[in-house]
Amino acid sequence: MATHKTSRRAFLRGAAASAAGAALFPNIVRAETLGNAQRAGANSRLALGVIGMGGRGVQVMHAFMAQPDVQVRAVCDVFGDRRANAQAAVHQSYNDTDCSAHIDFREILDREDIDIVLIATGDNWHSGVSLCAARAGKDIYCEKPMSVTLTESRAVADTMRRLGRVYQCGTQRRSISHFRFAVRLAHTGRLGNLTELHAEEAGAFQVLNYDVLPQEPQPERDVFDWDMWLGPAQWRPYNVEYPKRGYWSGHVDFSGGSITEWGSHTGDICQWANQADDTGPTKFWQEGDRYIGQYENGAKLILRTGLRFGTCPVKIVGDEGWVETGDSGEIDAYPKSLLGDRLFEGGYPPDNHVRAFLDCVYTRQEPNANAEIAHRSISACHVANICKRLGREIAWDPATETCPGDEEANRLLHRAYREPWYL
Amino acid sequence: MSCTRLSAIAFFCCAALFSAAAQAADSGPPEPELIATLETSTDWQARYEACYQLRRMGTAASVPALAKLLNDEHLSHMARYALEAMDAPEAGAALRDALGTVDAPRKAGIASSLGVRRDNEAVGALTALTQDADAAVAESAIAALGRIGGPEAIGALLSGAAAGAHRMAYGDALLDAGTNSPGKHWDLFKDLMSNTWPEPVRLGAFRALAVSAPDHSPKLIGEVLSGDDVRMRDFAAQLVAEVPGKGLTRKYAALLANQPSEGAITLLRGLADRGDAQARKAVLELAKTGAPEVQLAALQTLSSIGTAADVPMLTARIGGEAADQAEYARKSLAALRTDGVDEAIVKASKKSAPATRAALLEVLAERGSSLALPTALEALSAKDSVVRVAAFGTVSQLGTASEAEATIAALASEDEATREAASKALGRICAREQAAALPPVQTALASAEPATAAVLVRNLGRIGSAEALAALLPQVDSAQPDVAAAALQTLSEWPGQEARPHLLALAKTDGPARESALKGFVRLARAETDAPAKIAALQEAAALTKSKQDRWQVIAAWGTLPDPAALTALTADLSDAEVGNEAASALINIATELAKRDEESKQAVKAALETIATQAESQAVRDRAAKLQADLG
Repeated sequence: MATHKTSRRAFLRGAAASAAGAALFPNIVRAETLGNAQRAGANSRLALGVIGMGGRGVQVMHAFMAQPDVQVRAVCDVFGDRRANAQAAVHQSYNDTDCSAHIDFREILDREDIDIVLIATGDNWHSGVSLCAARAGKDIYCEKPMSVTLTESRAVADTMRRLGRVYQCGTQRRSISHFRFAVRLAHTGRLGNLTELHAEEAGAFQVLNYDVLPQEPQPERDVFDWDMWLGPAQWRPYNVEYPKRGYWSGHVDFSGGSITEWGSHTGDICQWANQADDTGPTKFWQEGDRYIGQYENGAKLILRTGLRFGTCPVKIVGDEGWVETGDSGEIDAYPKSLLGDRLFEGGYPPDNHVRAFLDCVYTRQEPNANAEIAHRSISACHVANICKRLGREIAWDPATETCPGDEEANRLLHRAYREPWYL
Repeated sequence: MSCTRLSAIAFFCCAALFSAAAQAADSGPPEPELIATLETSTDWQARYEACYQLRRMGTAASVPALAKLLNDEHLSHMARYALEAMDAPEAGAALRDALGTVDAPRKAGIASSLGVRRDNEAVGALTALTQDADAAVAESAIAALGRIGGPEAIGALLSGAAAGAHRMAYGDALLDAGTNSPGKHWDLFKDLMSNTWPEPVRLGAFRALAVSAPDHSPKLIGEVLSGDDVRMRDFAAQLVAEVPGKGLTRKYAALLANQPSEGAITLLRGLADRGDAQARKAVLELAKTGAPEVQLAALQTLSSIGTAADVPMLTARIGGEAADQAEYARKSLAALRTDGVDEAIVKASKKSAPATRAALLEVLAERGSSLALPTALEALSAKDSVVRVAAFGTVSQLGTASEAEATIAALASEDEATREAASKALGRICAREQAAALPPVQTALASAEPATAAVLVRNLGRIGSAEALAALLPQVDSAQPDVAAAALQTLSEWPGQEARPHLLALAKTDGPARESALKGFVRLARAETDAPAKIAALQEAAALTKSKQDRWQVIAAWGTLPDPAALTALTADLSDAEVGNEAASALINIATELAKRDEESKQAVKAALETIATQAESQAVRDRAAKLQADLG
């Protein structure tokens, strides 16, 4: 086991390089040539199955469809209307009727003609579907957050590694220029030794709830498959509120709330800036409305609100300077000369991130937001959430991935999967 | 009470509510009470919540009560929710005991829990389940054996796999067991690399073998690189990147010598990702002697393993005739991270031909080097235009007010490319440094030739301070036509509202400045955030319009102000042949927002829309008005 664990650090070495390097290496003649201006022939395109057709799933699906070497061949959703709309959109885009629609994602995974899957279900299912997809031999692009509990994302990272799968987490800010620039300032020492890494969470108003709602008449499976929506989560009677994003995203059994909603992005950028992609903070505590994690190198990860520059902002502070940026594309720094003449576009499109994933599907390199990196980032969020739930300081050992001597906290790292699903 | 204070109070109330909710769910009745609920209650929710709490704090005492739920369709999982979390051996025993008595779906779940608990005592029972007719049960049991690992589990998995079913599940489980069990499992991994297993298993076994036997990995990787399996070859490159071990890099690099082009490029990619300079010598050799595409890959690899000693070679490639080599060399040079690279680039730039020197200046700036600006400043007076232009490019990116004087001096250069580059650089410095850049600009303006003065005047607008405006105003009346024109343009594009009175004064004249000044005045009025001031300004502007172009600008500005005054002004223009369509469009823009103001406004808007819908010249505008009317009801 020691060999397996110690090789993880080396395993990550290539990931940072691959995002920029994969496309620069000269391509020898291959049927699946990268990034052609012309559309690849139908038989040489990567066949994509999309699982989860809510707003984000549709958006990222279109980013995949914009790539010349991808063809969407199947869509899946537990909601009948979303399923039908997605299928219709794909047919209209390709001007054919070749895309199948499914309630049960396993039908897509069983198909040998499907190469890659995009997973954009609710948070509750991200790890479970990823595991099934890996076991079916697919490469995976899975939306964030990677998991609802820590042991799930560890299982995903281990499974991807064990089966040689390419996995890209949808933390696409790792592929967006102003965030990359900010991290580069940190990595090249322009900010000095890092002291604080501020990561915006989605807002303190998103209260984690534990409710069991009253039973309501369950829709027909074709309209909405309740059992499949629940997936590995605990069974409970149907209620129309559960599947609403505004509800489940604050429920402990289906989500990690405000901290994982944005912390999976902003905490991830902070981990990267601190060159902590193979580790994490060693203790967490609360100060006012902030959750603080401290790294061994002394830097603090601060999960908070109130930063500038739109959604998902971060601020990276060192003893010689700082940089702050967010989805608006604006960036500020001290000293100002760090910025030079740079201007950045706003927004957080997934396109570069999708391309980085596809390139790695061909080369088998580790993408820049691979499973191990994403697991470490979401782990920091999960432990911060445990600190929040228990209302006290939590010690964390990133090597053993446990809270030393703290059984109460350790029990919250894991949840049993509902049959027939398994970790 | 201010909005900010109300928000703060609301925030703290919600935070308190959150804390209460969290603690309510992460604390609860004592264990004996929860056990009693499980044993006596028939209410699903009461038992669900009891299991929920026992997951947090249950002990062996609650195992018997939980065990009784293991065959319940809706509560078996909740029982496991609690049992899986407990270290107590009684929990494992209860799960094992239940395997023989529960229905098929529950067996899959219990098998999974035994795997999570790595329960070695369950190996026998799980082995039996791997033959279950229910695929979910079988695969859950197979996966559980993989997690448990150890010789007995591995033996059971190998026996089960021989039958041929669930091939991927067995492969995954064997990899899991082999990776996490004590001892070496090379023979197992070698077997799993054979073509009888699905590709993911083979890749995983390749990795497991390389990582568990790193000293043997070069031979293994060399064999794969020489083979026909493209995916395995590509995966070999990833393993080159990741397998840890001292001395391995040189051995991997030694494989380069015997590789055909495609294999060499694949291997180079792995060495680049590995990032170990121990491969440098072999890579440099290929950069010199390899096939053309291999040379490119070798140059790319140097970006992560190259050193300052490679700067001369890369510089030579940048200056060479092969454009693709120059591109790859340049990118690698920009990416080198070891000590002394910047200094080496500066040294090389002094000996290089002009085009190469220019490229090296750009590389220094791209590297964010602290030597970039000083080196560029030295190059401002270079003989060759291409060098000066590159130097001003760096000044443009990094220059401060301290560099303004030298940049201004270059505005008088005889070389047009230098003048343009200097102009661009000055513009960026002024935009970035603002007030700090004013003194050198003002000083130079006092004695500049007209062409230079015109450029300086434009930069007063980029500085944008009150003092810069004061310096600009006299230039509007300059005897030099180019300077006056530049000043007028700058004034009309002025960023701040302080220019408005001056523009208004000019707009009231009959001279050539009127039109530009009015345009600038309307632009600023449009940006005014105080509604009464905006209305007053637009009314003033409207009174000064002389052409339809003038009127269009004012109308467009009214179209950004959802106010009754705008509605009045635009309605008056609806029937005007010259500007009616534009007035209609502008009115439609503000209609929705204005209609929300009050009932009187809504009715006024509807009346205006009715006029537009029936009388506007453009069909598209009539249609928009009609739709909006319908929306307003």
